[in-house]
Formats: sequence, C-alpha cells, structure tokens
Amino acid sequence: MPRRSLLFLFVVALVCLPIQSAHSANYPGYPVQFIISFPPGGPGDTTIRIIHPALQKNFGGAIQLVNKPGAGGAIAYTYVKKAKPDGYTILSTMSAPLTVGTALRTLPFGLDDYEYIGAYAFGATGIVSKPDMRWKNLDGLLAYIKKNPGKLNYGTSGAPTAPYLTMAAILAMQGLKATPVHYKGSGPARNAALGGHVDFSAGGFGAMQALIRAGKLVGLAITDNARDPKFPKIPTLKEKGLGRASIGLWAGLWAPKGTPKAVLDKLSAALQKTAGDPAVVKKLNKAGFRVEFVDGAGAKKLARQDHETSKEIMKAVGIKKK
Amino acid sequence: MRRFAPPAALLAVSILMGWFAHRLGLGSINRPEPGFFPFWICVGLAATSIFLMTRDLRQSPEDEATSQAVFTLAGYRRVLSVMAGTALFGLLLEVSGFLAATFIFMAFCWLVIDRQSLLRGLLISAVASAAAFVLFVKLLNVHFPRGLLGF
Amino acid sequence: MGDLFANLYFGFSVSLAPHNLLACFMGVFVGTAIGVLPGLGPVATMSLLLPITIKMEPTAAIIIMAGVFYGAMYGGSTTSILLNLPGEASSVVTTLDGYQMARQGRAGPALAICAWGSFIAGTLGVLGITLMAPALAEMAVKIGPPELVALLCLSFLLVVQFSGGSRPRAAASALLGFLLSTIGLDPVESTPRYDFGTFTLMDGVGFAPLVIGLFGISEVLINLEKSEKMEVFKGRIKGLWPTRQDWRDSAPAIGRGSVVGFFMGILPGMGTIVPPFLSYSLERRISRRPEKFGTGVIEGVAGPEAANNSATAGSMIPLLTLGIAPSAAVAVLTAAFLTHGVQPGPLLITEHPAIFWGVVTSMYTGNALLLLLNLPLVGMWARLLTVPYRYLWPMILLFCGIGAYSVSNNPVDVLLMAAFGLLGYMMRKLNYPGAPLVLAFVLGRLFEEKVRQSLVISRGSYETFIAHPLALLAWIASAILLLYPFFMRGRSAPHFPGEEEE
Repeated sequence: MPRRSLLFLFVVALVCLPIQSAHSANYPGYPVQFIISFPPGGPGDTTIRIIHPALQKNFGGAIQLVNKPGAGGAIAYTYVKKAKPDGYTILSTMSAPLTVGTALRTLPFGLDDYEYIGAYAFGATGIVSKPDMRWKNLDGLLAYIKKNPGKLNYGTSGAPTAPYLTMAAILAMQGLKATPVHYKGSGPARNAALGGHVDFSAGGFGAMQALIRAGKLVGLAITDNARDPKFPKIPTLKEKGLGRASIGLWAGLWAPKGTPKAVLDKLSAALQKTAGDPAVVKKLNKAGFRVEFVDGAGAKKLARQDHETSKEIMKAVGIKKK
Repeated sequence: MRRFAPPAALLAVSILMGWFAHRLGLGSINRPEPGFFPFWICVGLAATSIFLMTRDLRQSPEDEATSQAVFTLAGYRRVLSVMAGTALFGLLLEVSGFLAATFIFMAFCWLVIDRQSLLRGLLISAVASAAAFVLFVKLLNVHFPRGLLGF
Repeated sequence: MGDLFANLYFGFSVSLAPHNLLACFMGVFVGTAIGVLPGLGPVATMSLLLPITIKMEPTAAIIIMAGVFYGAMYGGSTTSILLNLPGEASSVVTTLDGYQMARQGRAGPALAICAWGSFIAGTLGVLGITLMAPALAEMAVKIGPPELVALLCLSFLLVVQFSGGSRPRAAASALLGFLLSTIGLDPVESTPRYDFGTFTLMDGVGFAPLVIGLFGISEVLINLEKSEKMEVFKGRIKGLWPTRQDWRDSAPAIGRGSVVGFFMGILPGMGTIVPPFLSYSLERRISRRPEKFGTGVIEGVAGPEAANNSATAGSMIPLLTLGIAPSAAVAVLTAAFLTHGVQPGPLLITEHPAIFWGVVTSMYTGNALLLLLNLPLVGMWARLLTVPYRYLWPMILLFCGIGAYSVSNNPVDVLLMAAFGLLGYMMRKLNYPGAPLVLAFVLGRLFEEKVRQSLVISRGSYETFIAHPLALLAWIASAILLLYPFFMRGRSAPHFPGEEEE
C-alpha cells in the first residue's frame, strides 16, 4: 500500500502546484463569473439574464452567470465575500438578503463587506386581491380590516422577505390586525390570492403584473417611489402616507472588499451604459422592473436606508432578530 | 445481532433528532411550531424501530442466516475508500479546479482502489478527465470553479 | 372546433418553419443527452442554454428550452435501466423493474418501451394541453392547502399500500425520508432546523445528492464490494425490441400512466417526481401478477415512464395560461419568456399567438423527433453493458459527482451525495427499501407546508381539511385504502413475496 499511495500523493501535489493567475493589467483576461444567489428563474436571476448580452458587450469581456442558490442568498453572499478581490468573482443579485436578511438574522456578512458597483433594476412590493372582493382599493381594504379585526388572511412571499415586512408595517401603523400566511416566494403567494385561499397577498410586483393586466387580480398598492407607467391606476404607498413601510427591492452588482478601483469603475461604466439601452429597458419593464442606474456610492446609501427601515419595522411589528 | 443493530441505530437517531426538535418548540396541534413535525416523525420512527427490534428478538436465529447482509472487512475497506475518494473530489473542486480534481479522482479510483498498473492507470485517468472536460465544460458549458491553471 | 383546427394549422405553420424545426431538434437532442447524464437535470441545462438562446428569435428560443425540458424525460430512464442510477429525479421508479430487466439481458426491450411509452404519453399530454389548457389551469389554482394535504395523504397511502416488501421496514425508511425533509428552514416561519450552524443545510438536503447517492453510488459500492472481477451482467443480451407479449403488458400501463401523470403534473409541487410512483403502485395493484413487480416486469417500466412524460406536459399548462411555474424547471422556462420580453400568462395566447401555438405544436413534432432519436440509440446503450465494469465504475462516480455539484454549484452537495451513498449501501445490505424514503422526502416538505398553512388560514380548526369537496373525496378514498386489507382478509388477499409473516 505505501508505495502506491505515495506515488498517488506525488501526482496530487504535482497537479495542485500553484501557478500564477492572470494579471489585472489586462483585465478581464478570462471570463468573469457573476454569482447569482437565486436558482435559475428566480427574481434576481431573470434581471441579470436580461441585461447579460448587452452588459457583456459594453464590458468588453466574457461574463459567465453562475447560480449558487441557498439559504436565502447567504451561500452566494458568503462565497463572494471570501472570494479573491481580483474582479473575476462578482455578486449579481437582489439587495434583499443584504439589507433585509442581515436585519432579520445574524449572518456572516454585512453591508460593509462588499464594494458596491451599482444598482440597475428596481422592483416593488405589490399588494393584490381578487377583483370580486368587498374592497376595490387599499383604503377599502384597510377599512374592511378595521371592521373585521383578525378575520382576514394575507399571503406573503415568505417570513424573511421584504413584502411581508411591508405589509406587517402597514397594518402596525394603522393599528390593524390580519393573519399572515407565508408561502415560498411571490408566485405561490399570488396564486393563493388568485385561488381565493387568502383574502389578499403581498409579494413581488413583477410576478403579479401578467394577472393584473388580464383582470384576474387587482393591484391595490405598490411600494415604489412613483406609479408604474404601465399601471397608472395603482397608487403608491407614499401617496397614501404609508411610505415608511416601503423597503427597496433592487438588483445590483457587488464585488469582494478590496477589489481594485479600476475594475469597479469598468464594471460600473458598463452597467450604466447597459441601463441606458432602450431594448434592455423595455425587456426589464416587461419583467416588472423599473430601470434606473445608481452608482456604487448611491447603491450603498440605498442599502443602508433599506437596512434601517427593516430594523425599524421589525421593532414596530415586534419581530425579533434570530 | 446483525438485524438488531439497524433498528437500534434508527432509535438513536430518532431520540437525538427528537430532542433537537423538542428544543425548537412544538406548539400545539392547532398551531404547530417548527419542532412539531420533526418531533412526531421521530416518535413514529422510534416506535417503528422498537417494533422491528422486538420482532427480531422473537424470531428464530435461522432467519439471520437468510439475511442478505454479509459485511466483510475487505469489502468495507473498498467501500470506505470509494467514499473517501468521492469526498476528496468534492473538496478539491473549488480548490484545484475541475480538471485537476477530476484527474486526481480518476487516478485515485484506478490506481489506489482498482490497482491498475501505474502507466495504464494514469493514461486512462488522463483520457477520462479530458473527455469529461470536453463534454461538460466545452460542450455543455457547465460552469466549474476555475483552478489555479485557469480551468 | 373549427377554431382549434385553424389554431393548430397556424401553430404548425410556425413550428414547422425550417429554423424552428431545427431549434426543436436541437432542444430535444440536448434534452436527451442531459437526461442520460445523472444529476445534470433540465434546470441546470436550461439555465446554461439561456445565454445562447437569447440571440435567437423568441419562438425558436422557447421551442429549444421546452425541448430540453421534455427531452430530458426521455433520456432519464436510460441510466436507471442500465446502471440503477436515475438520470433524472423522475426516473427513480424506473430503476425498480428496469434495472432488473437489464440484469436479465432485457435492457433493449426496457429502453425501447421507455421511448415508446414516453412518445405516446408525451403526445397525449400535448393533446391535453391543446384541448383543455385554460379550464384546467383555473381548476388547479382552486386547489388550496387543505385539498393538497388530502391529496398528498392519498398519494402516500397508495404508494405505501402497494409497494410490497416488509411493511415495518418500508415505514422506517419512509419516516427517515420524512425526517430528512424537515432539515432546513421550516416552511412557514423560516426557522432554521437541524442546520448545525452551517448554511449548506439551511435550505435542506438537495434532492439530487439524495437520489444519486441513495441509488447510483450505493449500486457502485455493492458491485465493487462483491468481487474483484466485478461481473455485474452475466446474462447475454436477449433481443433488442419488445415482444408482442411485452406490448400487450405495457400498452394499458402506458395509457393509465399518461392520464395519472398529466393531471398530477398540473398540481403545484407534485412536479414530475410523484406521478411515476403513483403509476407504479397503480399498475402493481391492478396487475394479475403483483408478486412479480420488482423482478423485471415491463409494465413496471412502461407506466411510470409514461407518467413522467405526460406530467411535463401537464406542468406546462399553468405556465402557458396563467404564468405560474409549478416546478423549478418551469421557472427557468418562465425566465426564458421574460428574457425575450414576453410575459407568460393569461394574455399570452392573444398577445403572442405565434409563440403559444408554435410552442404547443412544436411539442408534437418534438416528441416524434425524440422517438426517432431514441430508438436507434437503444442498441448502442444496451451494448454499454458489455464494457468491463472496472472501467465503467470510476466514470459513473465522476458523472454522479458532477451531477450533484452542478445542481447548485455547491461542493458540499458532493459530500452529501457520498454520505447518502453510504446510507443507501447500508440500507440495501439490510433490506430496507430506498424508494419510500425518496417519496416521503419529496412529499414531506409539501405536506408540512400545506398542513401548517391550512391551520394558519383556518385558525387551527381541523374542519378545514374536510370542508372542501375535493378534500373530502380524497379522505374517503384514503379511508377505503386503509380499511381495504381488512375487507380482503377473508378472500385470497394478494400476497407479496419478501413480505414477512407478522
């Protein structure tokens, strides 16, 4: 046994011998990997896949999309945090695990563990119900809950998600009571409202748009800063004086702490150019996102703001950090 | 004895997991909490394993001979080394990259477990890992961690 | 009716255009290929293809992606039959009788009946989409948590009742599977359970590492341990094509499997994994030779294979008509629509008739292409078994490892796969069946989620579980199933070999 095993170990050592990796002077020397914290088809996956071809062109190098889903995004965030800051591993995902997730749970990463490259797609939380309910808008719904405290059920996209926090905050601000039923994602939450299993649902607005357009669901409110031009009749929470319940849901790019500034700038510039491409904008709008480029510093500010809002809501609603 | 051990192991698992579940909080039957389901599954598993144990105690020893389980020491060593090799492959994937990990794994299988001659073993390992690289990375475009060599 | 023919004519005029036909062929070709490779499932492959298809015209791109999806179901049975290694999650059941057939030198007929069964079921499924998609989708949405709980119970009882073998051991195996399914965030409050402080277990155990380990790896271990020579297949290959008798046995099974699969496929969460189990137990139940199941009967291969193919067609319905993804693979298909700026949903059929009817009709063509593609391969696959096992097994392990890794690009999944390989090895040595574990694992998650959602909605009242007619029906059926053995006591109850007297 010994001789053969020693030979084998020698082979192992030979193959593992360290070899210098590419220099940053001619970045990108080989394909850059974008780590996505969602499974294929998830919300943060669709956005990056839509901009991928244009981004690749504007960036001037190959970009590989790699899904590392799991633990509500924590696996991908941790992976990128630990990755070499050479610009070849970039985190491409939605802000929620970083902003909302770190507020709800003790996680091995935080807001300051990354370089912010920029944000490009903004989603909203949508509150929907079936058209044949007793209310026709948000005010009607809230009044109905007031008359029937604790009677209604609402579907959410999950306990640790922004739509749940938003809905719980609205109810808490008005001193109302309704029971949350947590589903696994916005799609199932929306289906629960559609099938009449819950009275209304809060989830990602993007997932709801097709059914709202078809008249099978009614949009009661969205969380964004301004009304969606495709759905001018759906009011924002801000208009209703409930703006403090809004938590941003946006897609962006992050890099491991210590990534060279030149790399960040190159990616940021490519992202900005891509976000200005009308074809990209049109597709992202169709998928339910508003397109706006926010640079690294701005994105960091947004993240901090969302994080603080989440913490405030948790305090007001009485959710403890786990 | 041989038939007695597996239910005993299952019983141990169910007690351990059931205790963990209990700590998570059971809630009530009208409002189950996170620990509720795992706890009652563990109770069921414990009951089943106790049933299996007592049944085997009642059974005559001839039945034991008909039981298929014949563990041999040589067999065990092979099984465990295969498992170790597979685990090594998993651990190496993100350290040395796909191609190197595959080559090492294949060489391990053919040289250490199957005891092929050195040259032959290395040769088929090289061919197999090259083929896998072409199939998965080049043709199917699967993204693997890049090794130190850039692939 | 006239409308339907006009629509179909329009659809075929789109899908038979040369570039779309080529796209369809590419899709089903890649689908079959990845179906054969264990672990590398349609989800991973479709997401890898997305960047390539984005440059194409939307109809062609979606035809390709759909082709990969249903094409994978054809290839999935190949390694199940040849190596006892399920190529896709949905082919677990195929290993039970398919692998036994291969060991008797009947790999050819088993593979051929899979291709035919898949073709017939796939085509029937598409016919189902064409005729009744919108109505069915509306119905599927109406099925809420309490009804699903009842249906899950019924499915589970059906499978356990007729799975044969030692009941207590099957129960222990199922309970273990159920327990494994509770690892990870709990489905309602998202409290981590049994994660032992690691993130990898926070989402629970992956399905691919579990199945690949339990079936594929354990098979390699059993063979390796047996002897130095490792002759796995002693028998000669007896004929490549199904005999007249094989056809007589399989045809009704294919028909029943298609129906079961199609309707189960529409339900959320059932996906393509549960229908084959149901089909298998159904076939066993109504068979005149239930004692032969598990020893290589052809209807035990034909039924489940048909079921998983019609289930893929069924699961397309919620997507095409409501924009709802009932499974992970369909979620990628949704992404494919969105990357092309097309929103799947109720308006798809009016806003993009070319895409809707083009994709639906391409599935008829695709199924025919798959049959033409797979039948000639039967001989080649059957010959694979003549390769000496000592050259084969390291490659099998490698493919398993790659498959487990590529599902979520997580190396820990490879370690988990190895651990489940060891568990599967032990279980097989000790005569504990693996299939109940897998089924309980799949159903367990959904069951807990739906029970708890039901109770939250009903404020803890159990009446909710019988308040819905469909749920009540399922419960009555379950009760009959439970009491069935008592009714049959006096008569000649079916007696399964291997079932110990208790």
